[in-house]
Amino acid sequence: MAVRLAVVAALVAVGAGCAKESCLSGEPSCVVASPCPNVSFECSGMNEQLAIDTISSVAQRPGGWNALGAKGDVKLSNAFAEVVIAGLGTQNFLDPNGGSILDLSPRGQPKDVVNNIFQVVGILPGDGLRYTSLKLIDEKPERVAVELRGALEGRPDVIAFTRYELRACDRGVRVRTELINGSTDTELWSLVDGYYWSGREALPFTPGAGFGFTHPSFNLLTINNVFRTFPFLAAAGHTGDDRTSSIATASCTAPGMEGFNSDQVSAAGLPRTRVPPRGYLVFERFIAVADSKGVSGAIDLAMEVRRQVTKEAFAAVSGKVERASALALASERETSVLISEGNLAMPAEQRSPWTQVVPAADGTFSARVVAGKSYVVEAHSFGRKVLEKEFANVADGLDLGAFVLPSTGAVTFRVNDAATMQGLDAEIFVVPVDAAEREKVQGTLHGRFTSCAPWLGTPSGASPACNRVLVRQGQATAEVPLGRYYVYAFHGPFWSLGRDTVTIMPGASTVTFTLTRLVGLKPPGTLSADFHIHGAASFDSSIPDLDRVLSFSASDLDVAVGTDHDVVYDYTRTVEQLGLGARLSTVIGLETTGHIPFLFIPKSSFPLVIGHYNMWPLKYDPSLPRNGGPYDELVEPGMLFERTRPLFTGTPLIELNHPWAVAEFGRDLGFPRALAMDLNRDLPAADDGTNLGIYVRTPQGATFANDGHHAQEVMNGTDNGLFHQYRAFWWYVLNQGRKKVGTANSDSHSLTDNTVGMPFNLVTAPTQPGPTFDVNTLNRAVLDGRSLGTNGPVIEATIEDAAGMARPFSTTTFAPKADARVRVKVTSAPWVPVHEVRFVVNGQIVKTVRDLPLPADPFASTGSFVRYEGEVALAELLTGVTGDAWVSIEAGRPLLLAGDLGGGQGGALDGMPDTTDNNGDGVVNAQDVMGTGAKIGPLADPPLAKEGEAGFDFANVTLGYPLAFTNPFFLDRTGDGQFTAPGAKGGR
Amino acid sequence: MRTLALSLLISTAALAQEVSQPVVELPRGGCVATEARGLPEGPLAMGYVEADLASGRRACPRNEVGLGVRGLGIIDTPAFYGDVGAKGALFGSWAVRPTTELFATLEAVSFGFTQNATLTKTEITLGHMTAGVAQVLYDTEKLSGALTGRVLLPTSFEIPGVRLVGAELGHTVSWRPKAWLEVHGAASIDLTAGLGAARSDPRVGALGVVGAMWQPTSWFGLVLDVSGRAGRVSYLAPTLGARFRISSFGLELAGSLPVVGNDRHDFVASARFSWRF
Repeated sequence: MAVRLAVVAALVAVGAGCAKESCLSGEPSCVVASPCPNVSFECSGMNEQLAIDTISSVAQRPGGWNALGAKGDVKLSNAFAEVVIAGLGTQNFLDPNGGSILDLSPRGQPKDVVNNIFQVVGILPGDGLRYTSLKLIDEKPERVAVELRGALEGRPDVIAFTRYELRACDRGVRVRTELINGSTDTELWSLVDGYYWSGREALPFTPGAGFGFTHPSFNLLTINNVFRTFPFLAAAGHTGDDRTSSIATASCTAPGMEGFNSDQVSAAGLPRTRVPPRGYLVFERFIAVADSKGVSGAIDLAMEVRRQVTKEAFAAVSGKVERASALALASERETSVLISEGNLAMPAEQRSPWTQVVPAADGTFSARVVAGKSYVVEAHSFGRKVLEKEFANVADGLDLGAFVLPSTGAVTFRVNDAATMQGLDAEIFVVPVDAAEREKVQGTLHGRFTSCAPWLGTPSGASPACNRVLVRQGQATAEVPLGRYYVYAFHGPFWSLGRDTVTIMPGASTVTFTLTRLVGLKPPGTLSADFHIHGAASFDSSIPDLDRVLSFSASDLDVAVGTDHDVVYDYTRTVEQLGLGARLSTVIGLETTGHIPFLFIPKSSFPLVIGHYNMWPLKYDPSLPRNGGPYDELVEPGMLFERTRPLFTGTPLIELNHPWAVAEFGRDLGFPRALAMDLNRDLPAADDGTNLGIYVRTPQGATFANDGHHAQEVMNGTDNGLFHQYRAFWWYVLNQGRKKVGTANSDSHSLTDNTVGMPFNLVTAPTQPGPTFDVNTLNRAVLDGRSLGTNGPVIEATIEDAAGMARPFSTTTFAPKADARVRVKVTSAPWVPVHEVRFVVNGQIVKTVRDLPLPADPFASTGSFVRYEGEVALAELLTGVTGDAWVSIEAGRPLLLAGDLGGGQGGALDGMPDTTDNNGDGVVNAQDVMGTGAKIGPLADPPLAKEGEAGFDFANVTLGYPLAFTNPFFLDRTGDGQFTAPGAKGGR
Repeated sequence: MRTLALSLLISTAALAQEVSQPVVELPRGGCVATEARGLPEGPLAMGYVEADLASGRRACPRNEVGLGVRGLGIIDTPAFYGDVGAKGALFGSWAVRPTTELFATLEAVSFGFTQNATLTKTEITLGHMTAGVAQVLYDTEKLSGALTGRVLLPTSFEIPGVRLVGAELGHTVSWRPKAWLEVHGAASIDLTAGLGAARSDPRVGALGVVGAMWQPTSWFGLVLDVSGRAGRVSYLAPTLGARFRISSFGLELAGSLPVVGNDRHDFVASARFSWRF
């Protein structure tokens, strides 16, 4: 009897696995179950619009600033939505091999706000799902689907399946992911969808006390503490134009999802779970998309999903906002309604926001919230809460009534060219006249993005943005909160700066400026060029193309190199659309951007990325992934350059960007900082196993060395942040005999973070912007070092060679005359004060000419623009230097004294300035260090000029200080016909 | 694979059936000589897998109840991974006859902590349970040997969506050439499989243990075992233990570390307190 029982038990035990669910069996013939079977949407007559296509032409690409779909990707579409799944082998951002969502937008609308939605189980590179097979499922008219199979990255024993499915009436995509632990280890999985927002685009929104758009900050070390459970995750774009939509995701099986949120990335999925061997997880969710400017459109759909999944009833509420003389109400900048669970007696941070809605043009709005609860409805306008009302026990159909918003001023800005009185493209800066005025108008988008005073619109989006307004052909109109302001009109550093002090009152008003081209300031034969500019095509920019290109013209830039992150982009069509083709040229390029850490350096166990590089000119092919850009992950710089080599369309220029920028989310932005290079040591001739060896080595299969770039940013950003460090690295490589050309770029991603063309490169090149522009000529001039970097001051300098000829700075080495003199002339607009001129030899400032006379009237348009003109004996500068030397000239505001107190690997001294003289005692030492537990820093910028000081108006426009530097003269002092590296000690 | 599973389960069941058969008289040897002692004997009762599966077992039956705790850990710093477990177990055995013993182990508390980079998760659940039988096959003055069988019951909630079952069949032997020396060994084959919506993923393992206990006094013994396991996870691991006795109470402390194989444990340790009656 016992034996028989045992046999039965054995059969039950072993046979129990026969009926396996979906693909949890792992069988090759399995089919992933249809996701969200308990969720349905209704429509009629829409079946024929259900489609599944492998994208084969540009015309099939979805539209929108974030659209990425390309040939080989799969598009599912119905009457309401379209979603693009990256084809296998198509790598984007953190998706290692395709299979992630690239685009999700309302059907036929150019409104994609999704960068990338991908599946991961943790935060390490090996926690991503790598799909290796893709199957199209066409079961029209019921459904279309894409089924993917793969495994965790580098973990073939942890198998994964994901199915994306669209039905005829779905307002979004159904997704089911299965993950089976076939390994021998107990795993910790946080099986989630990762949403890559990237900082200046869509913002995550989740219900929860104190949440909504606000989420606890974290880093990779504290991320475990910020996991929260939320009923849904929503997001919407904030481009400031009409090309935006909203998305929301809700679980199809559970009341909530667990994850974390930040402006950079969100995660929403299953709770963190220990999964021993043989364990599995299944995650089913619905990702809705709606044609709405606020998050409410998609949240309404998420509420419907939750009604079906959790039986949670919702209430649809409606209302209306009104403002006398409003230019528009259907704009997030002017009206945003936040609905939070709670009451007026509660502090705002204890209320639980459930939705945010942007009214229609007539001011009406509606939204869904959980029924039966009490809510506070807040009306926000120009970044500030202006009204709130409480509603108890909210039921379906509740009319919230009218919200009457305070008045604003409708200001028309006019900017004319003094010479022709024709309208100019320009940028307006609106600055409160004092702290009290600032306090009255300071705002944010529900606490997110940059705080601005006044807040005229989303800082990262279209004009008006933050406190800035673009003026096209001399005129623009914007609503401005009431207050007293300095209003500036800016048209680049070769023009006068306009300023008016204005009190904005309700109703219409006009502010007019007349700007003057400052004759003689821009040397003949030069072009102003910004080699580092982003637009909405970048994953971290929301500024529409029209505003982006208009900003080039507003800064009076000659050449703009488009360097969008990880995607080649062409602004030519927009240039033509704006009629700027005769005087503005754009160049097609990109900025490679490492996302997946892989590189290990000695004495560190953390994998790294290689940072960012700009490359131009490149071929733009919108039919290809990344518009033809290279796959830039998992390779060292030398191999990246090799991959890009066939994509260049002219003389290649590769630029190392922001070499010492601080890492973001564990991803280094500059290769030298990633390597923790010790600048006190000389570079080895070849890879010697050290960090420096990695910098110089040539990866296998590449013909470029890792330091094979041509140029390096020395100035990055309008505020010159980290100039000390970028400059120190440049000086270091020059001392190593690497003739890397120093550049100055805005790295602008919007109207707010940096102003295009501030700083810029003034390149001496025999070409002109417009129809005859030749990028090869420009690049050759840059490669020859015939450029200077500046945000206003212009430096002209020569040194006499052995034949007595005055040589300009360039990469061409020459022998100086025995009694050679360095002749320097510095000019600038009256609003760009130059306090001093500095002479740099082999990485040391050897002479400073201080206390230069400052212009009396910053708004003058005539008079002398010369701030310094003089000459210095070369021998005086070279005192104490043996061997060959390089010489560079700087001009601008005095910098703070900076020094190296550590910061290298293990805290060692690394030759990189990390701390300024913050206590002003004339030395840099431990007493300058601030911050609990800190051993170095901060590295401060010079304080912004106060009102009444020279540079006050410059600071109001740039948030920085005047600065310029020349590329070096390379001097052959030893007479061997070449430039011999002075070494880390600079030949001293 | 399923054939093997059936064989193991049937063998285990057959062994259980032995209990109900007429008593077969064996020579009263080494088992009798040690039956009054509380000192643990045989291979160290410590395994690397579920409950006491794949661990050596003593040859001689005894009546005993006890509490044990076992800790296991993998600390893989380069991979930013860690997994630490502690199992609090109740165990007991009943010598239904001088030659036959029924035994069971229940991991009443299973604590687990796993770290993936900076993500962490702690979990406390009911753990695994095994039940088995040992039948002495020979028992001379110096040599005792028994056939053992046990089944893994689906009690644990550790694996999401899956209940784990299994069976094991083995033989264990004890040789006492001297009063102060016990040499022991065990060999077994086991099978585990999952029950649930996912694949059962059956896994077979084989275990061999040899070791010895140096017992200078009646209240203390020092044990050194070497275990070798083959299967999805394989290892060769020395295990060092100390045994103490106070009257009928016994205490066993042991620690083990794999030195060869693909097992990733950085430590396995256990403490067991028992009362023999």
